[in-house]
Amino acid sequence: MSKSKSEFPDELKNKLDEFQVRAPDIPLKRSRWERLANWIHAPAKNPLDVLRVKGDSIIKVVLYPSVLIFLICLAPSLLI
Amino acid sequence: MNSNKEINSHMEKQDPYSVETLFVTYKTAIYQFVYRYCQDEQMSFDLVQDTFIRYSKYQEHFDEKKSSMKTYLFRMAYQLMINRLNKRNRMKKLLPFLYIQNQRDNVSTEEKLTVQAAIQQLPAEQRAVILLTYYHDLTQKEISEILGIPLGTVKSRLHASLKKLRKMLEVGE
Repeated sequence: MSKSKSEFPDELKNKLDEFQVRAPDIPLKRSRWERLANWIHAPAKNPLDVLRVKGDSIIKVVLYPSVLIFLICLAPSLLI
Repeated sequence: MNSNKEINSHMEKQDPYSVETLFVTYKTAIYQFVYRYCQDEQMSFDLVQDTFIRYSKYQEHFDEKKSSMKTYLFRMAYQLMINRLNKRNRMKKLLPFLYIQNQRDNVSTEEKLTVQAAIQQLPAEQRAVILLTYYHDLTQKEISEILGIPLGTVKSRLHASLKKLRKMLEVGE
């Protein structure tokens, strides 16, 4: 045991020992396709959360597309 | 021809610094270090592979008089991890909606923290020192080589992180 490790109080050592990590079976060679697939399948935030749309907010669900259509219609006049 | 192949494969088996041998010896330790640091399974998995790919590119730079193989590989893994985390943080700022906020960040102060959450809440520079000291039994000199910081900084970071961990986990002296 290194000298630094002996500085840890026993109670803290017990706590740290609770953090066990089991390594998966890792191949030496990486596959770019596998990485891409993992990135695509990684959990992401629900984009509707940004608009604060929840299951029961029917008004927002109806309003947002109309606002979007309005903005698209308005865009040419803003560009000229 | 076949016998030559056999000799070559036998020599590779004997070489203690061959990528295959080192991979078998250190992959678990490197995975555990990276996982405990960033608590991201996929990133840890990728970084173990990246470390050994990098080692195979630069293995002639390894000098056993300067450092041990363990220190050399941990340093590579640490540098790759920091680069990856910096890149991810930049992406998070640009596209925040793509990333889920780590739920452990939201633990209330009244709730007693788990050791995983406590480690995650340590400042990054202190976290590495604690992990390398406790889980990998490395000396302070080896840690200073891995992190690229002076020995005195390792000592002060270890002291500060121990104090913080004891407080967060409600552990006595």
